[in-house]
Amino acid sequence: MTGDALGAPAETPPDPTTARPDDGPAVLGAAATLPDRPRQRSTRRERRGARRGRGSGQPPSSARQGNGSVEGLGGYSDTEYVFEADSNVSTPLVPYVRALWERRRFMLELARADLRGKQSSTTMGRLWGVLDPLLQAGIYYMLFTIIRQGVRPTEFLHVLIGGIFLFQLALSAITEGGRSIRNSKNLMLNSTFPRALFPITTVWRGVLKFGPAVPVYAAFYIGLQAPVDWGLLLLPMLFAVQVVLMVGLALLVSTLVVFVKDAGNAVQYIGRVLFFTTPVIYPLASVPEGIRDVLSWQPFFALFACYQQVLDGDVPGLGLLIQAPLWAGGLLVVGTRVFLRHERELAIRL
Amino acid sequence: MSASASVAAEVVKAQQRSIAIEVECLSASYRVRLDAPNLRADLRNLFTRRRDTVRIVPALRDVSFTVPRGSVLAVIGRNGAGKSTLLRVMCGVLAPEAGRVVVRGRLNLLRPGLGMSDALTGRENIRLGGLAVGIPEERLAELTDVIAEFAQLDEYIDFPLRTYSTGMRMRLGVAVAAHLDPEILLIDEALTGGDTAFQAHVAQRLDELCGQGRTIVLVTHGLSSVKRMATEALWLHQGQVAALGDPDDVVARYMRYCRLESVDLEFDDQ
Repeated sequence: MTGDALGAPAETPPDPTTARPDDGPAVLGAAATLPDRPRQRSTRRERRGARRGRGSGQPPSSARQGNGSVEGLGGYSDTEYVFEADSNVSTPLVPYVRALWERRRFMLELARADLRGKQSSTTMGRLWGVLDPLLQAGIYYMLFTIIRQGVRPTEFLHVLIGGIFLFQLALSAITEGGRSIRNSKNLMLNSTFPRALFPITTVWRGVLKFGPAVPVYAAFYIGLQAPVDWGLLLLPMLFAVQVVLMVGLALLVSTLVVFVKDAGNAVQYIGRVLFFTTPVIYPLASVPEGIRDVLSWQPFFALFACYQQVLDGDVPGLGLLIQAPLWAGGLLVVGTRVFLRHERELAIRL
Repeated sequence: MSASASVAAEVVKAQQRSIAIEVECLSASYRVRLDAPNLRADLRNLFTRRRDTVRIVPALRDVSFTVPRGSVLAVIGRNGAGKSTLLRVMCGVLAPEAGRVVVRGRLNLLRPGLGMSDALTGRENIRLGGLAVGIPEERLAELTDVIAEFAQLDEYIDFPLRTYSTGMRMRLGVAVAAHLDPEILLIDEALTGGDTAFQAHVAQRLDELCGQGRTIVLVTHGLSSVKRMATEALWLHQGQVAALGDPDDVVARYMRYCRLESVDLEFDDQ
């Protein structure tokens, strides 16, 4: 295919299978000494190797030490990687998580860099981080005072604005997290770090971006004379649950989007459906019991029902408080499993 | 009997230890999705098992070779011959379709410009690049200065990357790549681009790394640097090994194939 561009090649490249033994004076050792091994696929031995963290498709943690110890030929470490044809091997979890943990600084800095990239080259730069939630809150305030004329607009507003901020963050796990692998083709093909780093970084970026919204919202909350009591202490815990939920979803959706490209288009509609089936723009109490049971089969429902009640000065029911972390934990387990199972194939499919 | 067996096993082990990379009967391919020509074809793809739009493109076919520790293997070949794919399979980015690769030693794939962020300054990008390959925090500060000096960007090192020219970006990328030094380096096209003075600068750095006993696999189009630096050369053609062995010999045959005999090698590195 390449030879054609040059016209008739001066010398056709020899067929390697037949030409190698008598071709070229200094054939590299192994080509001559290699036994004629049958091609292997998915053998047991390979699986064992993979479990020991040797053939996982990533050379993760050991490259960390970088330099220093290598002085001359004798200074090679015992690190050994075996990469074999075997798509049925799931990447082992423990070394994988360790390798991810070792890259935590990188994830943080990458998230920061991405965020800055989005905000740089505008005159106000980082100010947008604060302005954005402020403007959004203003818009929803306007919208609701107009729509619900005369019905004391402040009654639900503090819950509404808080819910919208948090929901946008949660949704970013599906939208941005979902695209994270597909949009990182360059890094995916030219780097060896664990791939879960990409979806996790987008979640991290979302959280960083969310930061400025917290004081803005706190000011709103106090300004609207919303109830301040001990129940608010539940918020950090609920937020932690949300982060776990987001990581699980980002892992799951980012894998799905690589394998089923159309899922990328479907994501925005799924987001819209999630928005209307989550108690964000309507109070939980206004949902009839029967419908509430159906909606609770939606990963965001329990969490946002909890948020809503806490922000309104109530303590959420035990059922909701159990459901929310169960959804998050479940999705994290499923997301991690699916991701690790298919991680080695991701690069080929990009 | 058992003593001689254990001696034999020791010998095999020692032999294995002297080899950095073993590639056995390696094949790899990409999945490529083409666009369906019209809506009807889209529907047909959706409802039938036939997938006209998905092609498997073989990138490597039955490639075997070994790289001894401390040697420099240059991989040459035309665009699309499978050179970059070979490197990616060797470091585990792409899974092989058949065959296997054994790598003994800490390895890294170096490709200039990796993970660069436009919003960050040159110095911050160096830091990010270092963190990406897992350089520990405490070494990073000192290394950043070394890299900044190597890139010869002077005060521009503290400017955001979006203000850089293509050449400046390339210099920064190569500088980072050339200093993140594991035991086995897979270098993809790090020698191309940049002005002549900077190329010499990079070549000198690679010489230095060779001198330290690192194993280097180098994908390049610069044939004169292959002849000068490599201890062995591999010519890939359409995913297969066309020639393997002494760099002078392999380069000569590759040039004969490309009808490059009359071209001055000094210009080839550009």
